[in-house]
Amino acid sequence: MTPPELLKAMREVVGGEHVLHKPEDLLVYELDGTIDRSLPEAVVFPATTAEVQGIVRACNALNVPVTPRGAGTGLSGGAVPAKQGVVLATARMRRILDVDPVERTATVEPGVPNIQLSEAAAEHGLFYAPDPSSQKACTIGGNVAENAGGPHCLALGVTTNHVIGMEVVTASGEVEWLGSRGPEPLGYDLRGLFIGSEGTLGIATKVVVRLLPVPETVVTLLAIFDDVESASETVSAVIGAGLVPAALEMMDRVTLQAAEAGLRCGYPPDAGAVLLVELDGIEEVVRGQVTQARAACNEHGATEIRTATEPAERELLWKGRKGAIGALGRIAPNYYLLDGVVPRSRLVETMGDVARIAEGYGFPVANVFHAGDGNLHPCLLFDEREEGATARVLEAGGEIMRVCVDAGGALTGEHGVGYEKHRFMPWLYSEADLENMRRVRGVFGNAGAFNPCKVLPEGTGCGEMAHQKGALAAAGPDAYV
Amino acid sequence: MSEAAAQAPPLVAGRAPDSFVAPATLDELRDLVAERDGRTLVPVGGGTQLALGNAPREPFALVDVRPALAGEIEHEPADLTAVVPAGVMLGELDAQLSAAGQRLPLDPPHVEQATIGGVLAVGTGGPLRTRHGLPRDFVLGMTVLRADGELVKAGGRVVKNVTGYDLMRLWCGSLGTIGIVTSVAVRVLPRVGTIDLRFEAASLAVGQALAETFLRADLRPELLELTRQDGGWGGIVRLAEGAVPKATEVAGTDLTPCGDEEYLAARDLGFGDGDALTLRAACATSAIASAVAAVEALAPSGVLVRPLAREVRATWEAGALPEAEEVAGAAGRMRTALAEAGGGLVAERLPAELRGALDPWGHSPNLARMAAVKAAFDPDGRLNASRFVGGL
Repeated sequence: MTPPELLKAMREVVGGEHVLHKPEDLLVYELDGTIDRSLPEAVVFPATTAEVQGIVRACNALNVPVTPRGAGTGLSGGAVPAKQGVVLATARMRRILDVDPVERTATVEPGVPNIQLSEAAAEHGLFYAPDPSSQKACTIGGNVAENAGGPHCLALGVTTNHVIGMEVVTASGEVEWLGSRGPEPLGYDLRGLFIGSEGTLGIATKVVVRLLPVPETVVTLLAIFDDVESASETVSAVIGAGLVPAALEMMDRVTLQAAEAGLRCGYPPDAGAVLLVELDGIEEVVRGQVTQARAACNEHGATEIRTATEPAERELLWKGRKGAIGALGRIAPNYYLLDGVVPRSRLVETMGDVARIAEGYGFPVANVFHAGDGNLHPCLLFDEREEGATARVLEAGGEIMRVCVDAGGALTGEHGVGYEKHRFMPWLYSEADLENMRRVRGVFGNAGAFNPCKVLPEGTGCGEMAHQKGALAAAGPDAYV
Repeated sequence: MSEAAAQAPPLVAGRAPDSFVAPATLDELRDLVAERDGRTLVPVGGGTQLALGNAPREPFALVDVRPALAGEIEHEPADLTAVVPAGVMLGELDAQLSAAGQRLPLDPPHVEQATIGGVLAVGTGGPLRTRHGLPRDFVLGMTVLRADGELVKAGGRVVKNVTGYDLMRLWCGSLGTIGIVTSVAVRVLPRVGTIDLRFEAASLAVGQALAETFLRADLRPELLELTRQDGGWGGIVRLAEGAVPKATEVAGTDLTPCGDEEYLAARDLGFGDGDALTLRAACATSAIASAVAAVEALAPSGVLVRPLAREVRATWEAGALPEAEEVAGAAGRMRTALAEAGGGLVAERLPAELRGALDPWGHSPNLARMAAVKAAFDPDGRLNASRFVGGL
């Protein structure tokens, strides 16, 4: 039961109708897009910076942990209240405050969905570059927390390359602007430090982003291969030719079959891999690049190449990719979606290791990757009703992460460390490195108590969460990579 | 360790060091840093930015980190990455990347003579920032020697990585005040065929409009520089070769191919031997014209505008400096105006006679937070004490 003094304090800040506390209302907020779950004591919906500040201060005074939450599409347990307490949801902070075509910036509240920002910018011929696959739902505040990427970050970079400033409420409950509308803040880059801190240093309450002119011409190529090796060699050839495509995405056989069954994309039944290459710019330049990319595909055994330039046709080529994970629900009732990254040249051998590990545990694995930057998303398929399956799938996931680290890679390319991987951090970083990172929390106050058990390994109270108790997210159409 | 006393040590922000040392190895550098001898240490690489900032707290030693941070570059062309010891000169790095058809598009003033560690510590961009951003945008991972002698790392060597806090962003642009970068992993790019084109603009507004036209036409200029000339403005733009016909079509003015000279002049403006005072303003687009008017009122010898990167730089030669009161007044007014739109004004070179009148950095609203950062990583002021923003 929610402690009455906590409930009272929250209601005083936002009013009774914006505080949830009944167990049945809280259930939705016990998890995000991944496996771990933990029930909050209350969920609070502030509408203003002052209300966010009021909640953080009240919770700090009561020694109650705060966990910020956007749309809950995250894939590392970042929005899961690991030590219970209060979930602070930004759902009521969804105004686009300003779109400035002269400065090519927009100022938004954190609860604005990613796609709405690009839609608002479109009338000025501009767009917001980072496009996580969840962009119809995920919020800019969540993107800032996770330093979100997306299929198109290969050429244009991730969130930190596009957010120039934000107003935050720090973990200690102070309001401060980090960065600004100018491109070059004075002194330490606190903005850059805050982005990707996974909501452990505070909550962004206003975000200023950079907008880019919409490309004149966009060409999407979809090339079909017999196997992942040929598709990977094509990726190397494309990059070796000096091209930096806007996107370079790959899917393997298992994924293609699921996508074909669910979405009817017209993939041949024997296709072993599909590569999507997107090129953009002025027509005169793109034309030559398309020729080079097609040549690379043909040289490496593409059995078919489809090309589209019109938005509707391009959308069709992207359909299988964007719906891939959801389509996996046809194969198995549950999945565990991983996010690892390796040097691009080691992608194929790492995939081999992933396949071996999955086979050893008896789980089918489907692979979708951002092939251009070595970011792989193996998806382990399983059935939680089988005795011990959940524990084994998590174990297999850990082994796959270990393989990525051993290949010179990292634990996460875009989903974040969150709760999911905080205990793996010592694989990459020494105790001195981790202690050094921990100092950052002190800079924003309330170290370790705000959104606890995320990013860095902690001492006590961050043990097993409720995945041990049972239920898991069922595979469905609202899952994204 | 040798006292590198044979040559007279250079001044740091106008102040002479008490000693000048050059540790031969990383271990020696580490021992030096960990020692608590009451001196502050000022790390220096190629020395292209020694004039920047406040004078260091005394007594201080100038530490040439190049011998200790030398080593082999690990370039992985297929991964588009390189791991570079911080003491490597960018000229050397560029030569090695070029051999594989790749590049690191960073070009602050006199970049060939700068070390990669120094460029990242200062954090300033050059003409190429117009398309490629600031040095920090290329960093994938870093190893840093902290003020207590501990070597710590963050990030990694893969091109996409959100594992742990992005300390690289904190270290870049920190002017060595919270650690000395010892090694850095960077993202590199393929070298592409480009061409520099020169044009003339009757006014700043015309030049700015042309920049906007190029951008809106999706021509993706790598750089676009406007410099003050007699009777108007001269510009250069660097475009992909294939983009030239369309650029010519939309420009409405002559675009003439030119050599490297114009580019180098713009890149190094304010950093010549005779340049004594150099101011750099970070502006909103709408504030560029007024920033230019404000500096022009002080009769500078050169003015440069990067309209798409929203930067204005002006310089004055030693013999033709404005009065201290004039500079201080103008800078104060500019700072107030620029701050409203999130900009600022930094004196990158500041002669001794003006140091009393003008804070080289200006006020930051985040000073308390920055002081907390400094205290978290260098509580005793072992590294570059007093030199940074707010005397950190």
